[in-house]
Amino acid sequence: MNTERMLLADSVSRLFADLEAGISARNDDSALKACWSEVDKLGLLQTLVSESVGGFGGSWLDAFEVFYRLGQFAVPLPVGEQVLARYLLGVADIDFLSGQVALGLCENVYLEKNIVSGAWNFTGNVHAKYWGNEPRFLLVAVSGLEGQCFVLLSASQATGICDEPNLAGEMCSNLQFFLAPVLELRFVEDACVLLHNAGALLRTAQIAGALEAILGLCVDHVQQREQFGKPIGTFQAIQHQLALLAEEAAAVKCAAQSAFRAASIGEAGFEVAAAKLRANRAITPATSIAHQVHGAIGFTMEHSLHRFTQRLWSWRSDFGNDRYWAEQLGKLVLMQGAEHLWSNLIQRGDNTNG
Amino acid sequence: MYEFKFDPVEMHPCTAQLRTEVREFLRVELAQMLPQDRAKTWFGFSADFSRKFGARGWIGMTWPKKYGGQERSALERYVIVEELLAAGAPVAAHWMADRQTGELLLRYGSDNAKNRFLPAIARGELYFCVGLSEPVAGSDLAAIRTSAVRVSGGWQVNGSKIWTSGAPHSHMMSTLLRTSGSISSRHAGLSQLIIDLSSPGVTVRPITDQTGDRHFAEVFFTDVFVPDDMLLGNEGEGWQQVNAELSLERSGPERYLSCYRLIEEFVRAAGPQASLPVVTLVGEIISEMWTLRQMSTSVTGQLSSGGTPALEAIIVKDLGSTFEQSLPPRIQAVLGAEMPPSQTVPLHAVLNYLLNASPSFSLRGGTREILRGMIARGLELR
Repeated sequence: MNTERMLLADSVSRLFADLEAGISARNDDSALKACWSEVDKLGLLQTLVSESVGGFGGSWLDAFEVFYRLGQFAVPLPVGEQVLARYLLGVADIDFLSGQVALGLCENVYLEKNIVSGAWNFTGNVHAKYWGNEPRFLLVAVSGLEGQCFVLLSASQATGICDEPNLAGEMCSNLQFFLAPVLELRFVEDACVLLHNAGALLRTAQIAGALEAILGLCVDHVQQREQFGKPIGTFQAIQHQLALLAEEAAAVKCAAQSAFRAASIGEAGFEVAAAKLRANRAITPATSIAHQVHGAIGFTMEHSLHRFTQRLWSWRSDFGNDRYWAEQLGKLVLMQGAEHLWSNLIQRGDNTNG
Repeated sequence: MYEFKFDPVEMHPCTAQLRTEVREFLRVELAQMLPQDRAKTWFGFSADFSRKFGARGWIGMTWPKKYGGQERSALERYVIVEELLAAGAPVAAHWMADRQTGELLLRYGSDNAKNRFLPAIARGELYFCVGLSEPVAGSDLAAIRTSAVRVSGGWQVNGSKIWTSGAPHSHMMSTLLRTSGSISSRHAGLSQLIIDLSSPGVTVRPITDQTGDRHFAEVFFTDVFVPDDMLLGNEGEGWQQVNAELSLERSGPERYLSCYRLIEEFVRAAGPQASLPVVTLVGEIISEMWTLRQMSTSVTGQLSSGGTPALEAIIVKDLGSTFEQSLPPRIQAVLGAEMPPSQTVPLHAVLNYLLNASPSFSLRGGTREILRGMIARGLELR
């Protein structure tokens, strides 16, 4: 890790450690507001924005350090989503706007071009994670007859908003648009894939961070909790469970780091698929073990375990669940055929390795 | 709290050239080899193959040139080894010496031992096995009873080893035995001796395993004389030496590639029109295998740059062997009407062999239970 990245990692860790009380409070708007303003002040939202327009100019490797810590501290704000939205605005060559830009996933979309004015209208549903009540913008990717494009919408144009908090109680909304004028529209090759893969990378890093955090919670708990006259961590049955949890956390961290590295070098569709799938598949064994060794206390709102496990369960569905990525990856490999299986796998790995 | 380190390694561009060379060599040498024979990976034996392979300079390639090595990097060796395993080359003859005994000799061997053994190993002509388990000492390795007592000019060895991989075809055994103290002194008083298996008093009795192969054996020692300069390192420090040696064998590609042949035959039989359960299983397998390779190369990279990723290496072994062990039943479970046996003859032959062989994957080189105990120790739980 270079010095600059190490400094970034340290300052992000310190920031979230300092904000721990606010981060862990559920539905404490003023604490979250303070947290958001600190994140903004540190410039984290500009992690992937180029220096020429006032950003941090970071690479995916820098983004990993930020995203990983968002998971490690179970940060309840859509920091990662906004980092990606700002990054994709740059890719689409859309000038930066002040205010929150949420990353949206859309369905049932109909884009219509006014023949006279040439302006585009957007009809469809957008699912987005956001925070606060500021005027906000939505960036979505749409696949239309004329190709794939990024579309910037104003949330104030929505005809209906339905709140759908995720498993961890984080605010998500479903916004309906009907012939809403778009603020910006840019055709970009594979815009939908770019957005989806960027989201999958974010979640993979967050999952890696959250797994490391629950391993730490488990180790602390079994060292302190005594039954039968000794810490339960001295029982082999518990030790082997935590060994398994450690293995899953290690595997996901490695997969995530490798995928971010691949993304920092070039096209990383294979690595994103492999890493998000590996991360998703770690969630069931890891959360089962974590809850089992914590016993009843881990099932309460007063203990912090649920902040991580609920997010993990929610993140598993985001930007491609197990079946989605397994199918993508399986199809890719089967299309290439058995003769190329090994050489392609190695080529992917060695590309990743620079 | 322990923080895992799995930074991706930089593969030097020269490894690409090396990979091309070894692939071409294997393509020619293994052209006639059947998939079910390739499935044996590091348990397949061919004296002829090892000699030709040694002649290319690919055995002991990280060792000093004066001992027959090439002074190449650990990552270059990694490239060679993973290509051998993926191709299913019969590497058993030189495997143990190339992977671990050579390093042990370089670190602890007498001048005579180094000069006598290393060049012959590198030529692919001299084979070693590693004598650890005994009838009453498996996972509890400190309970070994084979002993050596001082005699004029060396040691006299009595006892026996069992389930020693490669013993029937090996010339030499690096042997962990007791040179002082008693069974109650546990780890203290153990040493490593190199025993020439052609010495008077040595009897090798091959054991047939459940695949039908006879790659491991019981080895009996009755008043076997071993010269002084066959002691590795210091008398009484065998335990520490063996543990350092075992850590070399934990994170290599052999820990997740034992069923690679099955994956390739499965992908071949499935084809691009495979059913959804088959497609998703392929996806899952590739995701796990790619992750394990990233973990394994990362550990090798750290080891070669002087790091000590001990916990990471153990994790690679347990995850890797669990992965490779899971493959035969997972693949067996999705074979269906779209893959009739008549079209999948090699797949079934490979599957049958690996269903039989796979229980050994989580036993060899330290059982799963021992490894998980070590991980728990790394987490400071014991």
